[in-house]
Amino acid sequence: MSAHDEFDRVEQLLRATPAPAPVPPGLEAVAREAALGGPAAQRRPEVTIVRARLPRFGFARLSAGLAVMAAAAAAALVIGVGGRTSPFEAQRTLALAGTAGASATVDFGSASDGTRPMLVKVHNLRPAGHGWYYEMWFDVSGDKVSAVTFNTSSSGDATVRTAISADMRWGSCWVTLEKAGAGDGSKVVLRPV
Amino acid sequence: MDPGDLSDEELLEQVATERDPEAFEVLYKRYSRPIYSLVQRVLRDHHAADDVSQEAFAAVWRAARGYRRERGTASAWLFTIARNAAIDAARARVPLVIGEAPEVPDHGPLPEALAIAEMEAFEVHVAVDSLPHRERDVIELAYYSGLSQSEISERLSLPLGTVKTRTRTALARLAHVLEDRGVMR
Repeated sequence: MSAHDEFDRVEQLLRATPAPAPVPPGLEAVAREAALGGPAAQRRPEVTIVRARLPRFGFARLSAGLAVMAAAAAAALVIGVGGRTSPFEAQRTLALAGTAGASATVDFGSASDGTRPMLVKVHNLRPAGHGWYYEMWFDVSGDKVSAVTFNTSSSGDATVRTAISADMRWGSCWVTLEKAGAGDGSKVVLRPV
Repeated sequence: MDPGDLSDEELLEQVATERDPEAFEVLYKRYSRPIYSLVQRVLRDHHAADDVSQEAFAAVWRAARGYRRERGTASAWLFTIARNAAIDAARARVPLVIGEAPEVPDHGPLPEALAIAEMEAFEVHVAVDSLPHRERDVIELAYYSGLSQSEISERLSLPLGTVKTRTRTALARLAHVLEDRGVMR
């Protein structure tokens, strides 16, 4: 890319980016307290969700889908359709079901290096429309914890490989249909059988 | 070594292994505005954005041990922590309703496109915040406030040539930073 092209691209990015919001002056103090010593630091369990094979983030590779981006983030968000599925021996399997024959299985593998692999296989769940996606949740001590987001293929299938924190204790698991960015409602589409 | 000289990845590892508050504060300074802006874009609520940004930084402190450099950049990890905190907060404000997928497709942007745009905006904000102040000022006035170079010259009481030089230097620096972050394509 020439210097001229680089400048054009930077200008394009700057123009497409909304102005950042001014950070409230008091936020640093409360964030510091919450992180380093305040009660908020103890409020939630640590949840780390990672993907098995995580590439370094690169926008050029994002054309392949958001799964790449989320995987690189190595945290709690993965969106993917028919992702790579390195097999592992399931220690436990959870079955979920919804209407119109929709179903899913969630395999949990052995804990290793602080994480536990999880393989979600979804069947007969119609693809979420444009601007919609599916999200799997866990109930962890009364908190809703997002585990993974995904969409299904035209056949209604999806396979997503991710992981949860090895010591996460959860009480329930379900899948919702979500509208991107709006936060204006979610619908449970799969729940434990 | 001064924590300010460390990379984001090194800072995050310092937080994880040493529980180093100074490293955390440097991360806060580098990422507070991008994270706050991201959270506010998702929630569209200043008050909620305060709480969620605070929670996001607390989550960074708690979950730092889960970060692995070989799995991705610190920036992408922080983006996801903040985005999930915002999305969780948005979800918590509405009740769950049992139902099915809509029959009529939504022709709005795909979730992938929305998330990519959010990630790009986040990275651009991080990159702009990494500029020296005098360069950052001209970039923000030009691209966020929509001022012409003449207006910037007047606003900052600088010769027009200086504004042009700073703008060009800043754009070159941004191109380098954004290239490193994988945003340029």
